[in-house]
Amino acid sequence: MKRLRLDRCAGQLLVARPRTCSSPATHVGSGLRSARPSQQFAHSTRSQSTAVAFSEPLEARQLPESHPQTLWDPRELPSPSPERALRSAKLAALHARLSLPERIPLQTLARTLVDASADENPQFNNTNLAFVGQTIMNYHVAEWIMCRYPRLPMTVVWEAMKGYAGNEVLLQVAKSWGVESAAAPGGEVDPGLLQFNLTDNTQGVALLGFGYRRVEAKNSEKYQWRRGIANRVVFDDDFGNSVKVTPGTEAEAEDRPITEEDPSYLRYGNEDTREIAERAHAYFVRAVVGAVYAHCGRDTAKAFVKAHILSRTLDFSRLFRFKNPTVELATLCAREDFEAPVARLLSETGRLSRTPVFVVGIYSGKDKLGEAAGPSLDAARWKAAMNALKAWYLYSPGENVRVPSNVLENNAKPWSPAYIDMGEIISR
Amino acid sequence: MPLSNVTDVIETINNPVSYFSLPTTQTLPIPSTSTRTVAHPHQAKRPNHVSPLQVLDLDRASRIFSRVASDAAENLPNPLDHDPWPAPTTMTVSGLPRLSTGRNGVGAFILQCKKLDFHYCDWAGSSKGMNSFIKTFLPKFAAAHPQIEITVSPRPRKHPVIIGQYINGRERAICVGNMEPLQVLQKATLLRDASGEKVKRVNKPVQSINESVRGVWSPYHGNGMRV
Repeated sequence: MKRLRLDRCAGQLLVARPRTCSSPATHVGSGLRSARPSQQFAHSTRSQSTAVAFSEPLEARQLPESHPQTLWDPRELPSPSPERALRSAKLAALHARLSLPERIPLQTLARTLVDASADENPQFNNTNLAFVGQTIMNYHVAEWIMCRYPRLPMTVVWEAMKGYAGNEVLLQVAKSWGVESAAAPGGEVDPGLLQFNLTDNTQGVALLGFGYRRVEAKNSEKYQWRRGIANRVVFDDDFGNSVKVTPGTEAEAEDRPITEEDPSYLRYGNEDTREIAERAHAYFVRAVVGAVYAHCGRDTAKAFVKAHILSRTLDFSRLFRFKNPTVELATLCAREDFEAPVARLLSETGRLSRTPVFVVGIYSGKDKLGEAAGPSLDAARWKAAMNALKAWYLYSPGENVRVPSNVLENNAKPWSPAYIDMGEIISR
Repeated sequence: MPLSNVTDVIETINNPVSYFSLPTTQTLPIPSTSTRTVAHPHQAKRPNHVSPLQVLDLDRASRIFSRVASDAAENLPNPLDHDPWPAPTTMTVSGLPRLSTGRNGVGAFILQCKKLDFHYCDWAGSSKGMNSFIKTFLPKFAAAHPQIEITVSPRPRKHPVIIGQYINGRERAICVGNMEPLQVLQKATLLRDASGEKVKRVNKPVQSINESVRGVWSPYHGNGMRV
């Protein structure tokens, strides 16, 4: 097959490498990521290089202990060896189904399917690619949301981020790509299957999330300390969630049934297994984006994110939850020097019946800010205030708004600053 | 998220210390008056115990803060003046979780048929067309559809059958016994184009997840109808 021209492929992502060589983007710093402390990786300045790092032939390399070079029994390996990727029909079909460029070798695609819980070795699992992919995907989603809806409150931005690039939605993306998962990981598994370990929660989950690990994380998880918005922006991940330190808090661990005594806990699925599966699928999707970036560059990665992630649809008006809409609207009018909002009854029917309907409009001077119908005067007023607030928050400069990464295209016009509102009307 | 932090960085500059709740070395007194413009619903119920939020490592916070906005360092407000009891999170607008919906074909198109199994019998006469199809048409068919995983396997003493597997998890099988090679190709194409959904009657000409542009008719607007 034409796409399997290995001589053109970037070598670093393909095959086994000695532990002493570069491991891309794994060891960012002890505090910057919650990796397992047992993983000690050598640091290299070539970590972002896409060039082949080796000149000696494959046979001369010293393979790590988990992937011995001798004629191994595939069942002893934690994940399928990269050479087997070339003979997997599932993998080739997946490659074609995603219309991936020919420059992405099947071995890399096979590597994106190996979760850290299946193979701990970062030279064979998808952690590094997922990190790159998550960075790129979240960047493009965030810039698009911010430029498209510049007045969104930060909490709504986070929910929108989760709605486009969170673990739950990436699980659906992976499923819509037709990716199946292996029942259990192992060297004998078809490389075209997604491999992650559901049973071994403690050992396999090398990675609980990318981002800064808070100093007070343990107590914060235990006591549910409040985190302010700006605090979360600075310290937490792109979805406003703090990076977890432990798979579950200690209190949860005590409540959790012991799996040996109650095997049905794992057999039939539960919150833990669902979370692990979600994360594995999400990391696979991110790793594919990372692989596209590593082999084909920035523009192709952006096009891929646009085609598979940003093309999804999300009703932003359903992301809002208001507590005091009337107060908030009054504050907004005061801030913007509008006249104070007034609710007026526009029409009504069946006031004394079982099903009355009141249509209430909210006016600032002569301008109608919002309108809604409700079964009581107060409900209609609140809904009208919510509609007015949504009309404010959901201001959009247009569907094809320019985003910062457009500047990186060829012959791009210089960047003119995008309008970004100050966000929340009542800050907290 | 490079751009998203703009407003919050500004906020951080105004209230540098409040956003860093870090392990304790000092305990701050609870201020008696609140400077917030928005009324605090739980103001009367303030407990006496010390909240983790009051507990701030000022050295560390100031170090981090100086990294964030060293330019504004001269006009720093006194961190002790800050209200450590900000409004509860439910006071103002917050987000609701909601997932985006995929629209196949908008952006990328994923063919819904992911696998086709071709079963044949070497001996039985009903497989004659299928065997000929496998020899003549199948290589070209497979090359034209690399996104479909294709398997060919014998099924002795049974009718030949094509089984399609779809992304939504369903299967669809068509028996191609006693068919000509071209008819078999037709059935394979049918399975390729199927979505995997159950076949059901479509009454509406258009199905859409988008909201109606015109909106729903309302009896409470306009001039109304005279009865």
